[in-house]
Amino acid sequence: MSEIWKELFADAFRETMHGIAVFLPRMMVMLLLLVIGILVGWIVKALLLRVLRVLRLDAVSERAGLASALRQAGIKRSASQIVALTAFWVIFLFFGFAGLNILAVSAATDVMRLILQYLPHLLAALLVLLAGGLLANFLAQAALIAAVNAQFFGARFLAAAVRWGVLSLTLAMVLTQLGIAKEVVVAAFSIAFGGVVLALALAFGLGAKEHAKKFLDRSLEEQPDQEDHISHL
Amino acid sequence: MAEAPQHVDLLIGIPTYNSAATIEPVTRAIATGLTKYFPERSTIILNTDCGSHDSTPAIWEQLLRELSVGEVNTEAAISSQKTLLPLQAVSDKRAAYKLILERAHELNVTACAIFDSDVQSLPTEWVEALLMPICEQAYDYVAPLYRRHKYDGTITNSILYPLTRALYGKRIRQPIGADFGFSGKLAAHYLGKNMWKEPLSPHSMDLWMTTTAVAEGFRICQGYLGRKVQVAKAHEADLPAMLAGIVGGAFSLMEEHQASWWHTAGSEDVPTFGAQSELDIDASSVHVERMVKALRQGLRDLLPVWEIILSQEVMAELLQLGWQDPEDFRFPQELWVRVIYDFALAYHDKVLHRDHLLKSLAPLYLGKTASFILETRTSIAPRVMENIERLCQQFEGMKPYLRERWR
Repeated sequence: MSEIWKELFADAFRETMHGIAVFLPRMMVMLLLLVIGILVGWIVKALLLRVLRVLRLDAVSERAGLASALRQAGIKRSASQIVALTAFWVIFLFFGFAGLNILAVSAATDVMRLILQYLPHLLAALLVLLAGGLLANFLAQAALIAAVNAQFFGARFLAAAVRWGVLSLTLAMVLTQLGIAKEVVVAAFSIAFGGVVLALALAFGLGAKEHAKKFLDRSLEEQPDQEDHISHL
Repeated sequence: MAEAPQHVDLLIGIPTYNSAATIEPVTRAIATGLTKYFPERSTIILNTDCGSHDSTPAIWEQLLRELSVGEVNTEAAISSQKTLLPLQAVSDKRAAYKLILERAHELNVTACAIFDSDVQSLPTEWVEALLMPICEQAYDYVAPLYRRHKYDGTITNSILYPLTRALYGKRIRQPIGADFGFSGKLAAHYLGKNMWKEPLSPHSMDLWMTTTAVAEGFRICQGYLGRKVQVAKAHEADLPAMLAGIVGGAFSLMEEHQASWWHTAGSEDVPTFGAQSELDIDASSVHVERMVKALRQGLRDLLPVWEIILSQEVMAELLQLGWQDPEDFRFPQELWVRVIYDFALAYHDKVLHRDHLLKSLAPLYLGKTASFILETRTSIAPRVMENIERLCQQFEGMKPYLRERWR
């Protein structure tokens, strides 16, 4: 009996030791990969920062309205810092996933596979968000300047409507791209957008009929440059 | 219809676009002027049409039949040849100018002149004024000098003339006049420039011709033309676009000719043929309240845009303008100069999309124009001229402000 007990303990100890002997090097390799990931990520980040400064990305993003949009969103980093930081995390995650793969933990491998499958959608969504943010700023600024030059009283309201209209559409596209409640997002956006347009039409056409009439009459009657005897050119 | 000869002394270019109402009297006046003032010289009149939808091409066909073999040749000396060329269709004003320059170069002309077709009448003396200094005194460029009302050409008076003068050191009163003369040598030089591939607004074309001649050291003079009564065109109604086109052209040329203006200090008169420039001061109806209102709306709504373009000191002074009574409204000249220099610097540094930047200048320009009108409402011509001269001196005196910030 004691022989059996001994053998069982010896087997358990041997297997545990074998497990540790197999796991420890893998663990060490994973930790090494994480350290390499941090180092490589840091080097790439530093290099990218220098290159992007030479390419004047921050000046370009300031000009395109991206920098002010980021500031409004509470992000205090510059465009070049964001790009460099993103590169760092992408590299770090790449090495991290490789490390998890070496550990051969089935749950971790499954999670990694799922994340890798989702990554293209995430990148596409980020690009859509970036393009939408830039477009919203550009169009809002153009609308604001045009409305002020036309001496339209609600210039800021018009610009804000353009900005939020484009941003709403962008958000709907981003959520659809990410696969988050696709049908709900499309339906919600359609209903909300249609509702806003209908509400504005009703408000302007019925509620403010007299004001609308006065506004249009005034706009059609006023021909500023024709009344003035001045030639700008 | 006569064929173009291989060499002529003078070439006249008339760019047209929907100019049916004016092309005939303009062409007849030019043809008569050529016969009267240059009877011994062979000349060609070329119409470059930018896609007219009216009867301009048909009228030109008729003129071609009448003038080429009619009154010009019969009145001219036998040795000379006066020819109208068939209408040349082009895409836009730039293409029209380029074609005229190419023909001038091909024909090795002594002098060339371009006339604006959108004038109600063109005195025959204009032909002499723009071509004689080149033919007789070897000038390369003759800028026009018009007699205008004190409230006409406010973009020229408040921006282009003072800025061009301060930058390049030559007092050319109308740097953007659409009538001018130039030598065959300068025509060849223009053709060699790479500007023909870059976008340039139609209004900037005239400014480009003047600035290139001034900045690149050609012999410049002014020819007095008298009053110019233009036919109103639809594009003039869009003030922000027109202002953006002209001012954008001036700023773009600043970048191109930086080496020329960087060390230039002060300014000097250029030789002027004919009478000196004067101003008409008869009563004129202008509603300054609307202009002041435009500036106030800009101060209310465009601050986020102007804060990117203008310095903090300029912004602080601008904000104070919003409190003034419209009837006593004044836009200080020094502040205006800094506004224009700040816009030029912002354009150069590309701090904002350039079209947005230039169009956001419109409310400020209207405020400045309102101030000028109120300052000179009861002024006689010399006082108005003094006002413009003071502004020019401010531009010249504050040029270091521009240089220190230009990177």
